[in-house]
Amino acid sequence: MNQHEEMEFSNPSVAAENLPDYCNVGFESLAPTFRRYTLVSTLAFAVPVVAAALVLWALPFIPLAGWKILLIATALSIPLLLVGIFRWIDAGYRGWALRRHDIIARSGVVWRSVTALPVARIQHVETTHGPLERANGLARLKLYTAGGLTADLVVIGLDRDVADQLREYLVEQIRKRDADDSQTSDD
Amino acid sequence: MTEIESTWKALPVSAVGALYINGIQRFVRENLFVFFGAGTGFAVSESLGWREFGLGAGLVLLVGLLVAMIYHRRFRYCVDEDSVRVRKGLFEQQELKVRFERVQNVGFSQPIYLRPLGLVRVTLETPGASQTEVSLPGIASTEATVLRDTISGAAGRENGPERPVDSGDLAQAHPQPSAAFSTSAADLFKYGMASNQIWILLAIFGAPASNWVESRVSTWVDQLSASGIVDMEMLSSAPIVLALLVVVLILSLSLVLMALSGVLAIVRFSGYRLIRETDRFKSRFGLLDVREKSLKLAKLHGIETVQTGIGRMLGQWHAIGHQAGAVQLEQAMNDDRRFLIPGIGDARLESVVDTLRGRSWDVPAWSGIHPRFRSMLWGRISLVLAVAALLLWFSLPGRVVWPPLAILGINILILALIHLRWRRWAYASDGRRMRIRSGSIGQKIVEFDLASCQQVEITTSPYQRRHMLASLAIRLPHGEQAIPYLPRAIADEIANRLLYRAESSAKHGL
Repeated sequence: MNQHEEMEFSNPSVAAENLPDYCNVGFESLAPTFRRYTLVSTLAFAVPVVAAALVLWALPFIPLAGWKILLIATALSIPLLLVGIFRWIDAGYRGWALRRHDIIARSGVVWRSVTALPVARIQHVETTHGPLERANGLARLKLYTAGGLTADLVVIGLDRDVADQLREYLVEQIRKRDADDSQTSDD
Repeated sequence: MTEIESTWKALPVSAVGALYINGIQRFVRENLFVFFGAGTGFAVSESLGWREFGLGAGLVLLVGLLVAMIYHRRFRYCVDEDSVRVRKGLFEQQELKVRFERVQNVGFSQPIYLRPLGLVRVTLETPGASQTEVSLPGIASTEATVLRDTISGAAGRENGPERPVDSGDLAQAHPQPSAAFSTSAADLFKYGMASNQIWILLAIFGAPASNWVESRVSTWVDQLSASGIVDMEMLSSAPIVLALLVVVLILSLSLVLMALSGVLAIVRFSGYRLIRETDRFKSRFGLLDVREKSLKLAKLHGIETVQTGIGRMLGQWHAIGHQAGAVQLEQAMNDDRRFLIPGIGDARLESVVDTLRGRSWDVPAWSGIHPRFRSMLWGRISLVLAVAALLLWFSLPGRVVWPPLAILGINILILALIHLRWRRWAYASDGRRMRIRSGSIGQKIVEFDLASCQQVEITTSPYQRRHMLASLAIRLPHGEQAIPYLPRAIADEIANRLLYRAESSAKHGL
């Protein structure tokens, strides 16, 4: 590829301070309903536990006293509650930003990471939403590059309209790029 | 351009044998663990004798022959102007179509049993999973050459200038363009000694083999003590001599295995030649199975050079040309798809890499990673192991000293390995190309163009944030490269540069 590139364009070196800095970008926070969604979707896992406890409580021939069953069910639900709280906090640290040439996502409470994906490398864009996400008006944006089997970057907790707009915008960028490519046809 | 009629054709009748052998080989390779299970079961069970074994094997071979005949009967292929279509399948019919411009590689392979028949196995590799690649398990070598030239011609038309087409039978004397790189048998032997494959084989064969070795060794020991040459009583009272004996035994066994691996490498890569054509590299090698592989220059996304621990002692490297699409795991499992250049001596390494790169590059000096990478790992691992040693010391009855001491000894070994890993991990970049070096005893250097970056990720742990450090992960078309524990400002600058180069270059992923 190097030789091709040498022929195609000249690219003078750029001093580090003149490079566009991804750190200066202002991150958009996620949709306000995302926090509610994280809590509800985590607590949804507690429903079967509570239901089982109630059924056991109602059955007359179970030798355990009623309050013990409730205690066990509560004990089982505590880790879920902690996970829910963690995800609530985590939602505050997530964010995304769209620049002209790339899309950047931020996540993590303890181990924080910033991921940048050049728009020129995106092969395929997809938005998905589960039933709970739909109920909260949310969607997730999945971005695929060449070579990978799974999505390379997933931005969760977007407002559904925003996700659709982003998808349309990125698809348009890919279409333009491919049209340019077939004109200069080198690959 | 040679005329190719676009009709559905069957494979030659003589290809049935090839299909049969190939099928059996693949069956055994894909079910290796089942075979070992069965083998161990057979060895352990007393009710099964050689007769049952023969019957079972015969049945498998017979069914295999039947399958090969049906497969051959149903296999059809068709070469169009711009694509190859293949129709195949035992029970359900599958039709695959590959357009020539999608083909990354045309691989030829001629195992020894195909040579008298004048047949070649052709594989058309496309970016993506191996399930989608098309292979013609045995066609006449003249036809194979025409097919390759057609595909190369299609690529040539696309790229503009015509390229020299070399024709000739793969098996017979080939017009020899000057090789950019070739290896001697001695280099290949060293490559085999240094390669890791023998340890993988040992891991697979180790379990069933150890049973056999154990029973054999115990009879030897009995015989030896009975013959009176070695006094077993004396040996068991001198533990150091015994330990030395065991060490010598293990060392000599490893040497035998390494020599075996060396011979295998000679057989596999015999007469290795790397040839540069206008828009592609070609390699040809093999003693029993003559293979030819090609790699388009435009598809070469990364150059990896590897030196194993033993390779360092022997001054041996090997190089891998990475293409887009192939998933790393798949590459590791099926190294047939890799473009491998074996047996490169220390002195020739840079010239081989220059050849692959297509020009020379004045490599900047290595920059290492931050010493906190080492001190953080040293501190945490020592703490955990020290606590473990203390707990062990308290919990063991009689306060025995040696188990905690053993843990501390292992700790020191781990610390040394961490130090080596820290010292090895480095990067070098001039803002356009980059090299990343990693490893502990051996080393691996991956070189790529910054513009081929697909994604950049910067991660920080609380410890790293306190000390203004960050870890960088760079996704390339063939996999991910990491540089941990960089000063935050440098990590940011590299990330910005990668993004800038990827975005200002017109070419995209594939």
